[in-house]
Amino acid sequence: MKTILASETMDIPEEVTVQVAAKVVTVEGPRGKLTRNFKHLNLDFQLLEGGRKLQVDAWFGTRRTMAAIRTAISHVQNLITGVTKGYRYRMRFVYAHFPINASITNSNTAIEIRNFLGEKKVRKVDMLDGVTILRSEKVKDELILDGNDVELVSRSAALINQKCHVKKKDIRKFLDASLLLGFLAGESHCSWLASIALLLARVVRIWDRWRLVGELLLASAWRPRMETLDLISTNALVSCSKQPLRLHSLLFM
Amino acid sequence: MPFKRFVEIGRVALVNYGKDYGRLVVIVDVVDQNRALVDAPDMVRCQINFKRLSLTDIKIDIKRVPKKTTLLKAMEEADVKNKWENSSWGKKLIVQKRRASLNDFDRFKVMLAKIKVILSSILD
Repeated sequence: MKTILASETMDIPEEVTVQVAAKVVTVEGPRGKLTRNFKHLNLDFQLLEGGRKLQVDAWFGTRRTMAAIRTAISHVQNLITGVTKGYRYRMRFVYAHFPINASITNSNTAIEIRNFLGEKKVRKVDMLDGVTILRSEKVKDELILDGNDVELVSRSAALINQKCHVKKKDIRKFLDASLLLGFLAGESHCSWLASIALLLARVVRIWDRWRLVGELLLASAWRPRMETLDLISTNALVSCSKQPLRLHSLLFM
Repeated sequence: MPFKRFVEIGRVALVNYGKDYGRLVVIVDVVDQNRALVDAPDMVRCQINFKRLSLTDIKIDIKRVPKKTTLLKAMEEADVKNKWENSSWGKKLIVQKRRASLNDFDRFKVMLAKIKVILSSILD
């Protein structure tokens, strides 16, 4: 069933100017200018009250087109906050043994990641247009991505995250990653995800150490003393996140 | 950019398909999503699909489904006929009708008139 008219209006704050022409919305504010093209939607964009309100209409719309009204408004709201407050995405490095080494290059628009899980491969990620990246001075192993367009900033964060995926290993065990910690648009803040992951990595490490101790004890009960000493020395070099399998193979030699 | 001509009671529209092609009618009621009840001074009130109508800028002030006399009086007050004939759309339609109804002699006269206009613009 087609609804004759469905419309929604949003307010535009004082310091922002919005222009709409042929479904292309341009938002200009203190931090710069952003445009977004809504030509794929069958909606009517209209500025009312001399630019203080934006109205979005759907004439004879199906359920789908009417749903698109609110998303279009949300997109415009994101443009507005991008242009007034900006977007900041924070990412933390999580690692159990090999410190993730990151260097910012290209005047804050690219990042090189080395020593992820001890690998020789250097991972380079170019930031998208208008996104800058820096390493946080106060917090250890933190990256801060700043920009106006939320789509571009979040995509850059996702690109970094995806470069640091662990391959061919049990990912429940190898928890190394560069995780999105939280993002700020102005003052909003959410930071529980990577905190939990950090905690997990630490817990696993501790548990693993105890497991190692237990296995060493077992080994000493069954083997002559010399070989036990060998076991202990090799385990001292071993990192928890890489060697559980090797330990078993040692035991059952 | 937003729409200015709406389907409403009192909207004057032009029929662009069918038996009543070219007639100016007034939307008197809306039947459902696709059809309207439509009336004009010299026709019996009937229902017509919106796809057969082209909306104009003219709107008259009537209540839903008025009597024929009320409708006629409202059209007089709003001066629909004159507004239509003075609008560019209306004028174009009148010219089209005139051209379609020319006979051969008339067309000859038109040709001469055109030549005259061109010559006078060259010579000036």
